[in-house]
Amino acid sequence: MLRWKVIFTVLVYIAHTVSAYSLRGFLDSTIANGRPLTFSPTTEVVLRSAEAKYKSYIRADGESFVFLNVTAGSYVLSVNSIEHAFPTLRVDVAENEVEVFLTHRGNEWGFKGARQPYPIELKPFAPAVYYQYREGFNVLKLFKNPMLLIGLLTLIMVFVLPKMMDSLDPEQLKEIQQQQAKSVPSAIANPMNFDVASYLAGKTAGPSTSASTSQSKSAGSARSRKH
Amino acid sequence: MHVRALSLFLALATATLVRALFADEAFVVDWHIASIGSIVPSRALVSPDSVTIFSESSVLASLDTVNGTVRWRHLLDESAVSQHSHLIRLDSSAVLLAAATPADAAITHVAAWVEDSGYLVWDGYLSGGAPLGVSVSGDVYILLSGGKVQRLSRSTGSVVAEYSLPEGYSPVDIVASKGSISVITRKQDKGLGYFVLTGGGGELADDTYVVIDKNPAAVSVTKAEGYNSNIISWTVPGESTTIKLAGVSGSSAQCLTVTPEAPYASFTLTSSTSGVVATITGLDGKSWTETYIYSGGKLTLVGVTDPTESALAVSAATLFEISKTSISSFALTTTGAKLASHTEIELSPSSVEFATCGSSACLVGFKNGEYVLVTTTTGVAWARDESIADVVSALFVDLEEEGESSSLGEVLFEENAAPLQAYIHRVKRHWKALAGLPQYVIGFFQRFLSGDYDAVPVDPNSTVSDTFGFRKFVVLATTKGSLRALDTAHAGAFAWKVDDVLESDAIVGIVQGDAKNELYVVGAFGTVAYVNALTGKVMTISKIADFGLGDKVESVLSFVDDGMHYIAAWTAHGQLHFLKASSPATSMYFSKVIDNVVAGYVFKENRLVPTWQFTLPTSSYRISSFAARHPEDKTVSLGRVLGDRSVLYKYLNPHILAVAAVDDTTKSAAVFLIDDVSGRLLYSSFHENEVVDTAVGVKLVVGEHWVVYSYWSDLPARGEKLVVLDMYESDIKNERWSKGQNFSSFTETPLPFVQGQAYLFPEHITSLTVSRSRFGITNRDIIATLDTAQIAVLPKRLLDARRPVNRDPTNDEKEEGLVKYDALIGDDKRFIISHVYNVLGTKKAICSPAYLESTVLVFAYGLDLFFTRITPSQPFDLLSKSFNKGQLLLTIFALMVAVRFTSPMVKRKQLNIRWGTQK
Repeated sequence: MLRWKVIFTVLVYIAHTVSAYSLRGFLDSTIANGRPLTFSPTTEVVLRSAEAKYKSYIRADGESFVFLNVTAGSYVLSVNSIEHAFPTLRVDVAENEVEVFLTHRGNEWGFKGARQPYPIELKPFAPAVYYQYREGFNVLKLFKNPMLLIGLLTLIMVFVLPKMMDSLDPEQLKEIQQQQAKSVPSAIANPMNFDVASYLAGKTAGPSTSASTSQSKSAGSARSRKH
Repeated sequence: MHVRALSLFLALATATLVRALFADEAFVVDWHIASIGSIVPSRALVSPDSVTIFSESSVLASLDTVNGTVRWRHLLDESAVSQHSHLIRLDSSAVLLAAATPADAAITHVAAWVEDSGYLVWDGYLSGGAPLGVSVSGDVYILLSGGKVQRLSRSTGSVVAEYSLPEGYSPVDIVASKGSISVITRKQDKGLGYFVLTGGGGELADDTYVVIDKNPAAVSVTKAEGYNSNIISWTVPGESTTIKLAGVSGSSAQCLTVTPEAPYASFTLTSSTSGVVATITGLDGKSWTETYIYSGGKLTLVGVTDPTESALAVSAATLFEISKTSISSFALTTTGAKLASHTEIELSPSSVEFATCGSSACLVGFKNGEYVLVTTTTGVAWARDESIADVVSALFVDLEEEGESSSLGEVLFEENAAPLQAYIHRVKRHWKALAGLPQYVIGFFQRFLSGDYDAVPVDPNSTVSDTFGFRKFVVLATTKGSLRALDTAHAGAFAWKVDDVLESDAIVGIVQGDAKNELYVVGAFGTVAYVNALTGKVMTISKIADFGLGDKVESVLSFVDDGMHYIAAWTAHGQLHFLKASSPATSMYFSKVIDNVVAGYVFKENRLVPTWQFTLPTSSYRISSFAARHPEDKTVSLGRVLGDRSVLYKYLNPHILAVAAVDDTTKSAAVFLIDDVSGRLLYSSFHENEVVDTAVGVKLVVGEHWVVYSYWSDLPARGEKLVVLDMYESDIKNERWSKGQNFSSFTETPLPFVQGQAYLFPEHITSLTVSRSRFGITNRDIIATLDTAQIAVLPKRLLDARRPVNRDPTNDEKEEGLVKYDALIGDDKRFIISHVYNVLGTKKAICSPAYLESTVLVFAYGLDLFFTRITPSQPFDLLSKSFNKGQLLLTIFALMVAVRFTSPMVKRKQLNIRWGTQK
């Protein structure tokens, strides 16, 4: 409603302008999530070609703009705004007609984009982002780190596994060990059977069929190393 | 869709080259000073809520009356010539600006602005000349220099009625009041007079013509509107003791002659509720007011105030008297009672230029460009220094290094004295230094806890640099002949100010002397001042010997040759004056751009001999800009290592002068690279059939072996083009003809191999600069000031001529750091280092290295001032702000605890193993 009122008042005095052509348009303040945008008074709408440059400011309604006294020609229309990023348009001003097209930077000037309505409608496509943010300390991110996960797993194996083995029923333990002995007798392939505690205590771990033999072996070798 | 997907991919591919300002560093490492420019009293409206100004820099601004900050401002294109621009109040919420347009002075732009917000209410263009007078009475009446009066509707700005003066009458001014509109005119045979216009129902017609002074030679005609009388005043040459006055309201007028109490130098007339007040300044500099009552075509003197040295200003029914220490207001009645006063104000030491008052506050302007708002209730409300809006030249001044001043001499003493003496001296020195220990310890912990070197603030009054050399002074030379030093570490606070450095001479340039704290300030008429850059103290002031009569200094050079530092001044007559020490004994080569010719000279045997001239290809070309490499720019690597470990050798000629020329008729541009010793043309590039915006011209910057320039053109793709020219010794890898020899500009060396590439930049660039780090190891950034009131940086690495076009980079090219060519650069707003600041009107940026190799200080000036620091290769020598010292400490602590608990466990286990008792 307000917009039409503005356009009407604009039309009233366009009739009185001195020469050349007038262009009018507005910055679209509606946005998807319903909260209207505001445009600061420093926002400038610029119409430019190699021959001429016209600058227009936002009117008291906070969104419309008018170019007066524009000579016929083909122009780039851009918005200088600190807060928002706007698309650039191509505006062809000729006698009795104003044509507005979308432009993509870098395209040849003869290549016109999609036709846009007139009065010119400029909708900001994004807020301007000037900053980058530092990544702070994040516990969740810490646990995504594979190195940390490996470390944690190792700790679990060091402290929890021997206890689990101890708590097992001796016969059950024997069963498991026999089962594992059938498969590949490798410490790496059989981490369940790998005695991390003794490995860390300075002894090379080997595949062991029973806990006691492995201990006597490792004790022996530890002693021999001392000599 | 395909194009968009492709460009998205490219944006991602080049994403590594985009780095932005960290959110926590914004407003911390940078600062911005918003300026409005010099204020003219006739275009300053003082009201209780705001001070609205249209400045000489064409800035329309509204200032807060409480703290003087800018509420809003616009840098307009309109002319700021006093006679052709008028700012008046439209109504209680809007102001009206009528000014001639710069492109065509015959067209007037009239615009009404909302005073509180700066939005536009309405605007319109009027043909028929520049505005000579504007008056508001119900509607807006504008008198144009073409002799037309336009009546505009106050609410919409539409033209309601028009009137043209009859032939032969030249327009002077317009006065509108409730009953009538008077157009003051001048005619050779009729003298000064006015037409009374009547206008109801959209028509304006001249009813009567009233002659007020038969003498057509009347000069300085000024009007005083308001209250019950509209008065014009003028003077007649030869009658310098009298002032002529006339009322312009009725259909008959009488010319009245007023003879002030004493001979006057200047006067202003104000219409007040109690009559016409003439504020007169006498020949001795003292001011007084004379109040006249105008009735029935007669003027009666009712009161004269005592002459005073204070500044006087009249507003409505109040007379303000502003002296250096107090402001008082008096009722302008016959009794002249004192209404209010405030003492203990402190004004600028400079002399008062004008005072313009509202109902309760006065805006006082000083000769040195400072402005103060004083009120009778609070004294000085605020002060603004607007001299920094008009900068001639700016440079960074290094401060003393910490402890340098106190201990350098002492250390030297200790090195040279007898051992025992030196030992005692050292112990004493250390004992003295111990006094600073508590401060140091506190500072250390503060710094450690916050991880921030700014945590220990540098004393603003000291002249010592901070740890990393981020603190420097920026010295500005202004058009008003003053120097201003700004402290970069304290948001641009003034470190010192000096007015009229060169007495009455205008500053042309400032250069650094041998020591970092010496400055040479050179004036147009050959005055040279030698200033201490840390304190602003003028040490000596002298005139250039044998300076030609009527000659003018045009530019100042500073260069080093054979370890000797020279400072020289070029004059309009083509003279080269050496300002420091003696003129050089050896031959020296210079080049100078004179109009559209680049001329080379050799200076030998104390004489300047012309050697060569470079003329542009056709006479329609004119030189738009020129640039040379910064003399302190360093080169660390002679070549560029390619992916296959071969080398392209850089063409490192220190004498490259890049000259850009434009042709206004064919709308083309050209760039020439010239050896400025021999005048040899090294390379030229032409941009024809592109419809270049020649009015703006070409912006240039020269780096170590490259030139980057930008211009706006319409074809083939419309926009700002950014062109890079990389120069190598040869296009063949590993070939180097300058190997093992010093090549001279005079030997016929091969021309450089130039590789060029053009890019499209989204905004209009107003100037280009290259960053300069301490040792030159850090990558280069191109700093561009934009006409969107922002400042952008682009890595030079992105503007590389070797980026592969239309294909993906090969592995070798990837290793070289090349990404696929994309014509579009700078689309990302993260290139903008000025972020949310509205840095209006910057014309130039300068750089200076910090102590840290990674960091470069950037300062931009023009209208606004902006300072920040950039790290073109990331802050590699600085611990990141996100580095968490607490986390590190916590981890160490946790490990210690873990070791404390696990070691007995391991010990027990080992013991058990030895005993063979482990289960």
